[in-house]
Amino acid sequence: MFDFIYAEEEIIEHTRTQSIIERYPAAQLVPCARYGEIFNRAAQNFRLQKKRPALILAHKAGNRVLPAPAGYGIGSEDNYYFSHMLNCLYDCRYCFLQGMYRSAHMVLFVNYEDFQQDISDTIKSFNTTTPYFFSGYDCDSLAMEGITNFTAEFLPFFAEHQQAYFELRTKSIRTKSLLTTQSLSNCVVAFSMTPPALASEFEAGAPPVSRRLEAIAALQQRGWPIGLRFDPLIYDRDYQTRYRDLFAQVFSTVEIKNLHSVSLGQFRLPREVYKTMHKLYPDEKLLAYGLQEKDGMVSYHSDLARQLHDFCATELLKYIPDEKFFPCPSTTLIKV
Amino acid sequence: MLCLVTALQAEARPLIAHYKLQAIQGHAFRLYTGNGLRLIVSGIGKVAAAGAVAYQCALLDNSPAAWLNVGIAGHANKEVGSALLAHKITDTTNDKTFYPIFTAAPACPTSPLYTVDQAESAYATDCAYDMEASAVFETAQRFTSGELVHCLKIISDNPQNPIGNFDLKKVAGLVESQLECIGQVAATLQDLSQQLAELQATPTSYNDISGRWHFTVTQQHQLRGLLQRWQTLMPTRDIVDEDLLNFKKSKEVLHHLEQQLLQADLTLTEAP
Repeated sequence: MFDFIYAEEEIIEHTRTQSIIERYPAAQLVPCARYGEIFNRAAQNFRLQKKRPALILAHKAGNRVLPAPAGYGIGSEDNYYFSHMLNCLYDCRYCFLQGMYRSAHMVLFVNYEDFQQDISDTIKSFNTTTPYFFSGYDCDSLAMEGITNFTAEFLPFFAEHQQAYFELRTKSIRTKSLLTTQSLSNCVVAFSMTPPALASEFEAGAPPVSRRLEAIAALQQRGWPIGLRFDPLIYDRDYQTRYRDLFAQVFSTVEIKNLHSVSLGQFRLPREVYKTMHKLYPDEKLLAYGLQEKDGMVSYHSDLARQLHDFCATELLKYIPDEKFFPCPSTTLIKV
Repeated sequence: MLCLVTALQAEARPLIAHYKLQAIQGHAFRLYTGNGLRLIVSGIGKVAAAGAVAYQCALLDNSPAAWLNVGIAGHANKEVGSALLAHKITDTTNDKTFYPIFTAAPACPTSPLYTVDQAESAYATDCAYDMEASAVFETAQRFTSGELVHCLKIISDNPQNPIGNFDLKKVAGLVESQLECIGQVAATLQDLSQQLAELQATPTSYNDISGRWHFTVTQQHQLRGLLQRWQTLMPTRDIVDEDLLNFKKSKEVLHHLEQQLLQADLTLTEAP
């Protein structure tokens, strides 16, 4: 899978580093001083690197737990995210990562114990409210589970911290570790969903929607709270049929009693991220139609965004109760 | 476009013959061209190599070129005649380190490579030693993306066959014996260069429209972006038509293009 594994000298002897290196005996191990020497260097092309990314094993020194961006929440005022990985196995054309990072290599921070300590400290600072911790912001939470053992390490941790919520956000069907574990009422397994034809076109490498639904069916049977993330909403001429069909397909599988939350998200990117993405993919229709820049963010023109949001919200509310629905505030606040 | 860089004429000779390159006269370095390739013979050492890369760059147009440094090197334990691609290049003078980026499985084994100022005879570390690679890499990546720069070395000496006993007449034979490997690396790099050139191509009608109206630099960027989007969304529809030609100001042209793009009928995949 990897031709090259770069590893920071500082963590090369770490147990997690060693077990990953042993897993890929054919990969060339390249020691480095800091992962930024490779990952953050100028003069890199994300699109070219995505053909065959390498793995970088590193130590995350600080800023391990950060406040989540506005609108990322599902019911709490206190939302945090942490990224044990940077970049993703999949290649979704709308994903901000391709405009955010110069490199498409995948970085795995192996010092999970430091992340857990910081999360624990953050939780302690909340006496009365319930903080949420999101893990799938800079990566897919489960896609690399076979290598990272992320859930195996973090589920027991959150089992001991019931006063906090934990969201795994994913398109992956690598759910074995969840299916063999007692479900946690404070851990939401949230699947990103896109109409199947669009998923097949724009989510390269990700499992098809039908397989994600099979994974959801198995998880809900085991009692895991399920989240649904229709994010980003994607516009084209046939959006109404696409999303109506998708919701019908999804709710023929998802049981409302196991459903934790449903959220909508607008297609939105910081200006510089969009510019980089459009430069990488000037031939991409998805990045060429109906977008405008406002206040440093690029998103659909307000009337398109409103149409998409209102249609999807109306359709979704035919299936789910209000209290489980979390539209993205940046969509609902758009002025027509 | 792929630019080959060798330090020695003897390293260049098999490449010139294999790719049927023609000499270009009247330059500060020996230069050859043909078949979408350029070859420059830099001379030995980092200063010569950096100078050659910069010189070659100045002669190229704006399309993204790939760079391949081909040459002989010493190694602590590799057999004489074996080829390797550098995966980590260290300039031993200042400890600057570079990491070539592979977008395909390497065509041959890879190795760390130390670029030294004097020929290495102690082979102290388990890696390759040359005298140009760090300079080629550092200079070339100022002009192109890192994925397009690689260094391929053929082992000429090792502790059993030390540099002191090396016969320079064998250089051409060593390079010639690895032409197949060099060809694979060159083909991958040419392909990447071609892909980038296509992505960075000037959109259709850009020159025509920017010649008809006066656009500020900011507006030129906007125009380029709009025309790229037009090409993507409405590739068969003419941009320059009667409506467009009626506009007097560049601002009106940009607004018109923007409005036309908004009216495009977007179908991302076949209808459900």
